[in-house]
Amino acid sequence: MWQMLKMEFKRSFRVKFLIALLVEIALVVSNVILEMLPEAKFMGTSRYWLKQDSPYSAFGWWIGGTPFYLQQYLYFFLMPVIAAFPCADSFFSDLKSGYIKNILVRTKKIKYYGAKYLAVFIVSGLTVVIPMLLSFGITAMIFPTIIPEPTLAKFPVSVTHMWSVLYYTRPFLYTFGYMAIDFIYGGLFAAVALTMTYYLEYRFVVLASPFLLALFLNSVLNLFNLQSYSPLSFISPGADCSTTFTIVACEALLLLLITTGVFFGKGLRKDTY
Amino acid sequence: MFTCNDIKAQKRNTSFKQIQYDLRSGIGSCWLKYAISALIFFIVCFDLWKNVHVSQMISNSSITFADYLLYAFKGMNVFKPNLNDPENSFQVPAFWLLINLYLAYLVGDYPSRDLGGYGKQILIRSKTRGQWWLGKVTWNAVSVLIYYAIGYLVMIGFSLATGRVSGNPSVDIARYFLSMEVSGLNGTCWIPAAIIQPILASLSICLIQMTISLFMKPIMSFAAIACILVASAYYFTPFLIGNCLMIARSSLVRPDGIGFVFAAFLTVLLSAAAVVIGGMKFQRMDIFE
Repeated sequence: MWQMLKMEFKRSFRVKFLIALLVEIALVVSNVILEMLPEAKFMGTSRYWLKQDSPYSAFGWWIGGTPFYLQQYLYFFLMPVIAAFPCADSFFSDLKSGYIKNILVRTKKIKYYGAKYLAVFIVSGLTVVIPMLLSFGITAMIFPTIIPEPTLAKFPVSVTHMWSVLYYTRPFLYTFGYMAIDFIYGGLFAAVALTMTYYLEYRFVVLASPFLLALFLNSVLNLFNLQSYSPLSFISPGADCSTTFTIVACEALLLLLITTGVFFGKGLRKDTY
Repeated sequence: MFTCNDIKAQKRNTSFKQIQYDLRSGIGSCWLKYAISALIFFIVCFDLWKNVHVSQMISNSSITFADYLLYAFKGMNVFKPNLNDPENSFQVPAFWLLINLYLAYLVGDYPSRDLGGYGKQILIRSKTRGQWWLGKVTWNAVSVLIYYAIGYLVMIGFSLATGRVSGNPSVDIARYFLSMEVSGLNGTCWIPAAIIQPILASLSICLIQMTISLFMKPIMSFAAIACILVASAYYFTPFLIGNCLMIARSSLVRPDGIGFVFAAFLTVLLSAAAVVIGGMKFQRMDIFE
């Protein structure tokens, strides 16, 4: 299993992983250059204190901390595509090229499918989280990590928002907790693409499937005013969305059960040859 | 021995066959995808009908075809970020995104899929790359037209079932549910901006997407189009082509909005540029790569 896993990781951390990271880092860096630095240069000056009645906080400025900027919106909106891009189509390639047949004569099915799922999940999760960590690190170098003050009403997290108490008391825990959620959802989006491989004919459709499903689900939930159930709404830590941890956890569990159930169930039963 | 006229006639014939093949395999074999687009427009119409029904302020029977059309292609008002107002967050309308991104998905991968499969054989036998590209451009344009035709048919069907098929938008519905003032929009004055402009802009976006997919993977060109659409919602400038897809940003409802003539000129120019650049790239592309 370990050897299989090692091999899958080796296949996953390639150019496509770097491209996905570069796209996301470009969003993070442009957010810093276009939005943060112009504000930061006035810090400590009289203009700053005329405009602001409290100092800026890094928790309200990093890529996941604000709902105002284009880069922030794009980062989380494109998350299902970017997460799936590095390696969610590797199973598709294995099936189409016949590579899977060469692997399965040398190892057990469960080892191959287990390693594939785990590697895709972890690599996709990392694709999402690494630029977030970078963004938070850069922001913390520019703005102080002051605890957000709820009475100022200048922070996007409202009372009805998930973990709002944590945000205003232990913001580090909130930020890293949300990154953990995004890691899991990044992995799950890629797992959806992995599972859809069984049903779809073309690579493009496989890779676009998590994004399209998320978009479609978002619209249908919008129809019934249930935006708080839409992953596209709640994956952003700073988005204006009143969700609860139960919803986030239950949806993640449901997605995990469906994707593992279909991926392993179909894979183990299906005759590869 | 072939005469010059025979060769020309043969070329015309192969061009026609290429287009026929593209329409058959790019649209005919993907009917399910187009059926889903009907469902998307149905959801959008249902949302407006439901909102009007729930509010009980306006009679359901007053919803017209024009209302459904404005609701589907309205887009969003100009966004102004305000750091001191966390309530004013940036949110692109879900239905507008779904309608436009689903179209991008529809036209997303056929050229590269065709080039990686049976289309390569056709390309080798037809001995002309220009015809192959022309076939794809025609397929792209027809796909956009079919998509919009499906949308309009669904809206007409919905307005027949729930209200009336009229070209006059209801002032109250526009005011309460679309945040738009349409009292001056009567008769057919709004048709170019509300019907022709979105089609031209979508065609332009799809051609740009097809051209980008020659330079990078189709999934990345799809993501690039998603970026352009979201950026268009964020910045109000006609040069971000997504602005031409929003009625809320047209000169119909805004004094500083994008005029139909300018939008038409810009979209035609961008489409032509996409076709020329794509054609040039395809002439030099290694099709066996």
